[in-house]
Amino acid sequence: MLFIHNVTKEFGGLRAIYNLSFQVQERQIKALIGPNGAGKTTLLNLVSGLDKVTVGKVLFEGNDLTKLRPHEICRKGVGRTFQIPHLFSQMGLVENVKVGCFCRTTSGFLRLALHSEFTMKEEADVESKSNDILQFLGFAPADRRVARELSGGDQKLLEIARALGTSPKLLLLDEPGAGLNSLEKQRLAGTIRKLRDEWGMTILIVEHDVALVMSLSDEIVVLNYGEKIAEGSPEEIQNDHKVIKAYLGRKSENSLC
Amino acid sequence: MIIRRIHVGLILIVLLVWLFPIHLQSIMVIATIYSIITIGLNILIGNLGQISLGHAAFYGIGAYASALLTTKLSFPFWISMPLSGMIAGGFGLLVGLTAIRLRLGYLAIGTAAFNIMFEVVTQQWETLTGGVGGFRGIPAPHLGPLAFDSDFKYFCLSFGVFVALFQLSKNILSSRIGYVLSAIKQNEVASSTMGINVNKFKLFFFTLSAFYGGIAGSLLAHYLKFLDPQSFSIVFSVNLLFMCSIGGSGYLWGGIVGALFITLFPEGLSFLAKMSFLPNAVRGLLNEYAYHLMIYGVILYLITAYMPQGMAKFLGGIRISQILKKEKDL
Repeated sequence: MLFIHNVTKEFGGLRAIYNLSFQVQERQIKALIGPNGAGKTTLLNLVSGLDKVTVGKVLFEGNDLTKLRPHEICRKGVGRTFQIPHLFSQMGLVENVKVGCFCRTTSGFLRLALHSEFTMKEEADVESKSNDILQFLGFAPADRRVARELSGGDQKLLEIARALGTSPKLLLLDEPGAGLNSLEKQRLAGTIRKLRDEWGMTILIVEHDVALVMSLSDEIVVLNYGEKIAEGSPEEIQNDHKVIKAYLGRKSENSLC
Repeated sequence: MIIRRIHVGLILIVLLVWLFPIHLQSIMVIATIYSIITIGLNILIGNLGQISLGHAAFYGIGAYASALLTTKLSFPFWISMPLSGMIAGGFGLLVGLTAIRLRLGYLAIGTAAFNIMFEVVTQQWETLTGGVGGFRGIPAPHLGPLAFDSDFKYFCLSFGVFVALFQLSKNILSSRIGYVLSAIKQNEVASSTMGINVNKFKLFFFTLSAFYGGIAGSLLAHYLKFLDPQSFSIVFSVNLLFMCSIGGSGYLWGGIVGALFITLFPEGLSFLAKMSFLPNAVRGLLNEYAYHLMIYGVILYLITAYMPQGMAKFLGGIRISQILKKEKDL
């Protein structure tokens, strides 16, 4: 479904990603791990269109994403969350998710200006869709808080809710577990699995919590200094020497055993 | 038809103005015309977070366009008014195309430059605009036998246009477009990843606010029946910004409060000047325009420092976000 093809990204003299290639199959949960500065968030930015590749192609369901702008990429079915929540801080929970849903509505300007019946129905649909999404992620239905007032963990969940509003086929999650305690992380893992199993979504997740990644992903890609050093199933990655040396640490030191 | 409170309120306003003395009626016409421009400008700077230091140019384009269409091409007013709005909107689109590439300070300079270009054109292109001497002989609008030539009749006309445009803006802002504007203002990057074409919105609202300016300009032209370039200078653009700021940017009523203030305040001051209990020196000052400007400066400072959300909030204005919530409760 998603093909990263020989992608290189340079910021002036700094090479953030070099000759990276991998695939994400449909309905797969694929993780991207690596030390800080390895280029993981940069890759997500390239896929979602916030940055332009220097060399290479990003193909999604046959579409070349490297030529498209962020909002066009979103409409093709790619949603994302941000490492530091980029919420609409002064809006409430439902409003944030609604903004995500708007890209799937079709009322034109004239209908909106005249508050036509079609528009009113669309707005009602958006409202109920947003409430359903919020409930799915565990928010109370009558939660009237403003996005700014949420805890860090809740903000990350709201980010995911908003991205779900865009009805994505591929979901890019940038460190969704950061700021969550272990109970919340378990619930997050369950939610992500449900998104794939029940909603049919494909997920590319960047994470630092190794345990979470190992238990959740079908396949893992490991980056170090912008280059792929390993790709494979969680078992293969755990036993890969290069990965252990660069990132996981010796078996006795990491949290897996 | 349900007669709501608001309809009664509108009728009362019209009645009230009918009872005003002529020079106050004239002021109300001008206040209404200014209010039309500020609705558009306020959405642009308050809700979308852009800057325009050149809105007087769209006002002027609408005014001169309408004057030319009715005099040189003999169009009736009812066609030239919307057409002038569209012509001004076209220029708004052009300015918007540059606005997409400019940030804040540079955008201010860019829009100011556009205003100056317009000033120079109106002053120099004498065969088209009558130059510094002015454009004379603009006809008053008429609907069959009814001519809008008195101040009160013209107030009814411009007030009608104002109410229509106000309702249009309210509808737009209370729809999902209002949410999108808030989203863009709060986080442009996130908005674009959620499928919002930010540039398209910026262009659209530059065009729309210029359209409003053009409509107002057309109304002005057929009221004064005379135009001169000075009315559309950068000084007036700054006045418009002043109206939006003290009224409250982002509030639907903001510009209107500001427009009323800037037109009625001098009247209030000259009324005070008639009070014999004030010493003669003070009375003399109150009549001087230069001192009016000084007082505006002080007021602007006070509002920015102590009431940064503007007077509209103080008077119980409705924030756009509250309009959105209200629509939900209905």
